[in-house]
Amino acid sequence: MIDLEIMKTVEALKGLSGDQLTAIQRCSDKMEFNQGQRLFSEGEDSAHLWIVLEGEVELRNDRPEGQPNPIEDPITFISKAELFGWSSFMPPFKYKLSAYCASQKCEVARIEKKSLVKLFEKDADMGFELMSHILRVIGTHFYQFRNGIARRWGHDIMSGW
Amino acid sequence: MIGNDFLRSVGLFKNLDENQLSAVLGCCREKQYKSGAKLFGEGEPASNLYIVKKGQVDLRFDLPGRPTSGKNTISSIPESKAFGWSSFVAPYKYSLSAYCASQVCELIIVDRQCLAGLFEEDHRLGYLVLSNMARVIGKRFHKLEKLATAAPVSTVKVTVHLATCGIVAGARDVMSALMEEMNRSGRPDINVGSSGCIGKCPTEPNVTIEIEGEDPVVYQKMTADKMRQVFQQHVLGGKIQTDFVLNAQ
Repeated sequence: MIDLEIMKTVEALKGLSGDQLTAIQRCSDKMEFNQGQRLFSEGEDSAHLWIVLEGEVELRNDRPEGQPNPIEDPITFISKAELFGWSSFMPPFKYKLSAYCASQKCEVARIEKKSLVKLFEKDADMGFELMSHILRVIGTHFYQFRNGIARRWGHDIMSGW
Repeated sequence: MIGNDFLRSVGLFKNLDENQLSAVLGCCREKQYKSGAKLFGEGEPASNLYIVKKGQVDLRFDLPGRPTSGKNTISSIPESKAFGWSSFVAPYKYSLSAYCASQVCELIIVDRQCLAGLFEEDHRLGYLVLSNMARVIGKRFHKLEKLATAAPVSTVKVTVHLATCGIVAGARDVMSALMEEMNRSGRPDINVGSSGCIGKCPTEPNVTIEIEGEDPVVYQKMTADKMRQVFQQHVLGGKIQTDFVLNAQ
């Protein structure tokens, strides 16, 4: 289980009460990885939200060489007390990037999405609080992706065929 | 005037009860736009969510000194679908411009502040709408990713020859079938147009497919069904349908 003190420092969970954090704690389990080990792969079913408890996790694209690249690949490092795995809340419910342990050791917590949604159904205050945060993250990613596409297509038109 | 029945059919308001739908209705107003009208511009404060009641809206990026066109379209929003979710995501500015892409667009405009107020009063309503919104964004995100890896912009042109001889032979039905396929494909990057007679009246309706890097292909004696086949197999699949090609025999 995740340490409640760490949960209190996670930005996305800051608006939740002690009871709500305890409920989330019950749907989670702890895992350890060594440097370079993969937590999950791009394209796998995204059934969990993740929190970094110790170390640093890298999110990156595993696209094979030669496969078309829509826009520049993002490389993101997730530090202690940060949440990731938001694609578990949006179709097609597959991870968009692969996650690797980037530090010597990584300790992470997995929160099962199905159990989390059940909690949201019972406790709408918690659901609203967390969905507001999730939507901000998803929206920002889409916003950046769409702007990247618009820039690329705009450039194609201006230098045009 | 719209009612709860219409709102219930909109994915964004899925699973809301009657009272919640009525409350949302209080934040809505209707507005009509003519073809080509700009609903809002890129960078403007995003103060509303929109739902297409009738017609189609294109979300486009603007280019300095160039008129807008279908080439600039990132997404096309059909009836009963919502757009303008930037009103719920920082920096609360529209990231694209919206244009009416059908003859007339009837839209439901949902006031963002009013809706956010309802969320604060009823967290269950907020939770349901935000969850639905995450699904909508997820689907658009996925569609755009597929589109972005499929083909660069404007590499495909489909021209239906709509001169009098073509129209008499059924070119309008061909154009309608083409537009239906276009809407289904989610490929606003494909450039569809019309032009006059190519001097082959007995073979009308004619359709020309131009794919960058390949010779143009003219199809003859087209029907709605043949158009659908050509669109699926040639335009999307790259396989020329030789049975229908002009002078191919």
